[in-house]
Amino acid sequence: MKNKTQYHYRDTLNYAPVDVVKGIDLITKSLVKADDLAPPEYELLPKCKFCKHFSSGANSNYKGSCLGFAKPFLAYPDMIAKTCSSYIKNEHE
Amino acid sequence: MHNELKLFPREIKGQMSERTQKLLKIYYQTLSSVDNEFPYWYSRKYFELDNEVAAVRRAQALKEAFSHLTAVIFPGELIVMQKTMHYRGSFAMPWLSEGYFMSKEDEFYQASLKRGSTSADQHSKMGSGGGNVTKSFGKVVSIAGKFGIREEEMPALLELARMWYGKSVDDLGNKYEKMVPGYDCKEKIMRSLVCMFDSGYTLPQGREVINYYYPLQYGFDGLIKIASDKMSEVAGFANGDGMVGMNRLYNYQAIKLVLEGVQAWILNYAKEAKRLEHIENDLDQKQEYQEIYENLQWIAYHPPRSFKEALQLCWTLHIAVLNEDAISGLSLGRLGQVLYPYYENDLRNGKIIEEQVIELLELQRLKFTCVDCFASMGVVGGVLSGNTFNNLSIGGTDKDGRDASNTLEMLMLEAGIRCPTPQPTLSLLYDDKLDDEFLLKAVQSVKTGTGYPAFMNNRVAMEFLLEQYRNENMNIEEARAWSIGGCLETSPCSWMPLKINSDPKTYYIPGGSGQPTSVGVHFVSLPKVLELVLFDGVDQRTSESVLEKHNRKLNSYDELLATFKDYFSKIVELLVRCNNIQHDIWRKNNMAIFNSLLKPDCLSKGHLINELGYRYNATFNIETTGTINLINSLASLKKNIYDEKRMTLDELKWAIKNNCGYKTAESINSYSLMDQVKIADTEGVTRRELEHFEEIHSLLMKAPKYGNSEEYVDSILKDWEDWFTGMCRNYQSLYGHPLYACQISVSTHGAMGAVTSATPDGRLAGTTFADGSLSAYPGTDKNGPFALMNSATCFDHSRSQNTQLNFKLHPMAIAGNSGSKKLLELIRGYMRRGGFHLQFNVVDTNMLKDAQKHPENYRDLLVRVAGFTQYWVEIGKNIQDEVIARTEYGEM
Ligand code: SF4
Repeated sequence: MKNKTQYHYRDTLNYAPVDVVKGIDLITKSLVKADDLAPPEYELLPKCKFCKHFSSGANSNYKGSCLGFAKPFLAYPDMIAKTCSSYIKNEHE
Repeated sequence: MHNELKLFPREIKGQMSERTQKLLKIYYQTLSSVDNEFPYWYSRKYFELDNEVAAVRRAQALKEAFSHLTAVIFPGELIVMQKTMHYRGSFAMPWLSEGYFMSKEDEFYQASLKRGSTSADQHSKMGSGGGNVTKSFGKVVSIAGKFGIREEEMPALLELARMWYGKSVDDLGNKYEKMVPGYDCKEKIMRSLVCMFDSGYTLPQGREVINYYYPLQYGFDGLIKIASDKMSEVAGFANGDGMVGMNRLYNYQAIKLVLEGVQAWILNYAKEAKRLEHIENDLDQKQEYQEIYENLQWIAYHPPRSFKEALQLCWTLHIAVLNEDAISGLSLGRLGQVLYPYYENDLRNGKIIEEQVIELLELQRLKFTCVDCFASMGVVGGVLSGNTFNNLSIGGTDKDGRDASNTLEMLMLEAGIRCPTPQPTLSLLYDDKLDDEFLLKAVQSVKTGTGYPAFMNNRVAMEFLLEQYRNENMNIEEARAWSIGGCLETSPCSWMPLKINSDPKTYYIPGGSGQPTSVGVHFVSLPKVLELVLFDGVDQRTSESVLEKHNRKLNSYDELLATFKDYFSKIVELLVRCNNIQHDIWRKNNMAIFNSLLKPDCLSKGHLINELGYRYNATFNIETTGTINLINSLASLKKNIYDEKRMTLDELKWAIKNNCGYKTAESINSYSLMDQVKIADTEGVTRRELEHFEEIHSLLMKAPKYGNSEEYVDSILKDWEDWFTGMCRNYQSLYGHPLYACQISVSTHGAMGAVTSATPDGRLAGTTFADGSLSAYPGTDKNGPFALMNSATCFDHSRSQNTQLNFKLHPMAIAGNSGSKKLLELIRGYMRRGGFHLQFNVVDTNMLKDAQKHPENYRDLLVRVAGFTQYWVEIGKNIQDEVIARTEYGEM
């Protein structure tokens, strides 16, 4: 049986970012670290890096392109995409 | 017996609600955080729309940015929404300026260094405690010396910034200001910190009062309909205005777009509240999410129905304006008078009780305290000390000239006592008509040590406004609507006719109707100008020739003063011309749309801020710093050099060049005069020279000092004030209106003191100037508070937008009821003599010294700086030293 993927808190929907390093676990209400692993049942937060339209750059881990709209534009993997109308989850996520 | 210092606590301490306490605790642990969402979506849309009409292009970009912001709600909140997803978040606006947050090696940074835009950054100090991210760590990169950004976001931010290179207000403005004759000199003025900031791209708006009226009255749907109807009405008509009459169509389109963007932002929060309600197990919290959802869903379309909805809407409007542009000092105005009708209705109908109102006001305080403004280190540290000056005014008079204070304002004071936070700070618009009970409540708040409310003179402000806005038809009724914008800027407002629910009554509520103030010429350092006068235009720190040589011998006091005025006028003229160009670029490409639609009379006229749509546009000013060090220096020069000939000018200059035989303030890392250390005779100077320095310094210190009710020095102050406040009116803003004087220091007295040589009043090189514009130089006011007040009121305060006098009182000096009454009498006395502003630091100096040694024990310690209250740990060392050094009155 395949284990369910465990995401970092900052990549889950149950995380409210207080600042750049920590946030609140919306289920337990406790202060947690952004880069700690969240419980396995926590759902994935839409981000460009999980989107089908994101193409990662050749030279930078942190930059790429968005091909989801009429004109391609800069994109970065970590951007939250909850409000992006073109976000389509990559199947392998 | 050990000699541990006894620390006197403040007399009054409140107790906030448990909910507020929990949320405040989170704030104490929160870092100032930056993310890219807003600039990403703004830039993406903006660059897609080449050739679109400028206002519509900007509006589309704003709409795109607002509607893409991630909505985050923190458990326990009742008032929700914040500038960004983070609790204390902000973001860069590279369309204003992109150079300063580049890496120091970057060519853009080097270019801005050359033109002086980053000089202030190098001499500004940011408090290293609290939420400031002054150094990079782990996955966090520190930018502008205060903000933290995730390393995953940094490359994209730099890429976005590069897209704006040559296109930002900073860059475009610079391209054109270079065409002003003498521009080279302007660069030198900025590099040497004779002037601390350019105006048009740093914080182009603010120091003004927001107007919440239109959304309160019409709701978002109502406003969108007004804009749509107006578009049909004006399309194709110039209306007799061949210049900008046709623009009305595009402006209404822009208004509509931005309203839709902000509406979408609110609805994203409503959606998030709904989602949270579904995943929440705790029934009380579930219910709160449900209420949040209902409130947001309603106010996204309609006028608010209750106090809580109105409070939420005002907060949302406030941060929407703050997200539209880089702004400090967007004041709430008299929010207690704006919200009173809702409060009164809810109370009458049994929908709310006072304790609930106080808790909501506490939570609102916390929200405002979380507001950060992303700007350069020089602006955020050197001027603002990390504060963003969202000032709440209380009191004043109503439309008919009666006492305007109300019970909701009493509750706002109570919330400020129970929940002592830097923001919103409170300003009491003092009038003799105000009720004693209200004033004593304010005094009680002062005794908590938060420094609020400050007291501003209603009558003096009205006199200033009636004179300044005479050409724009201000009348006495309208003058009564004023509030403080920013920390201390008298700002024009108007009465708006509000009707709520089915209440037949019309309430006239005050709201901002003027353009930003503290725009124009930012902070000219008067002691630094004097340094240039004494040394024939040469900056003693850098040895650069800043101004053309005056070639005068300065043989008499009159010649010295005339030379000072010549130099000062030249500096001002150059800065006015350059800053007018910067603001003109701002208005062409970066105009306010959301802020504009809130202010009368943009919506009815169809013109935004850039086309003089506001009711009052004569708001540009000239700011100065270091007034009292200048006045004391002039008194010393007059006495020692010219009247009594105790030394020659050359001897004085020799002593100044050698810092009167003292080490530099920077080398000993202390910025107050009392801590300075003498050079030893082993350090390259002879004993004889040291004795001579000591002699000279002693004469400089003994010269008459401001603040002691002495005619010799007070007459110099009066002459200066009469001349300075008059000369400002010789210059015009880009909007064609005369400028006026603005006399506040904020925190510039630290950074500007740091680059100024010793001054003829005995102040040593690098030490902080006297704060405010009328506070005595620390330790030199020897005759008590009433003598200081006499000196401060030796001229007409209504000729200037403001003056600033700060008092430091030991808690024991005003202890008990009798102490409160004494303090009120002191305030009354000052106001009746025509003083404009008074504020108090009620604190034991020993406690501040202890806090400097053990900051970890004082995360919540608040002090009043100059026009604002800030956490001790978040202010720079040069300002901390100055606050410690201020004369402390132990008795009244
Ligand atoms: S479509 Fe949206 S989520 Fe996908 S890459 Fe583009 S911006 Fe990111």
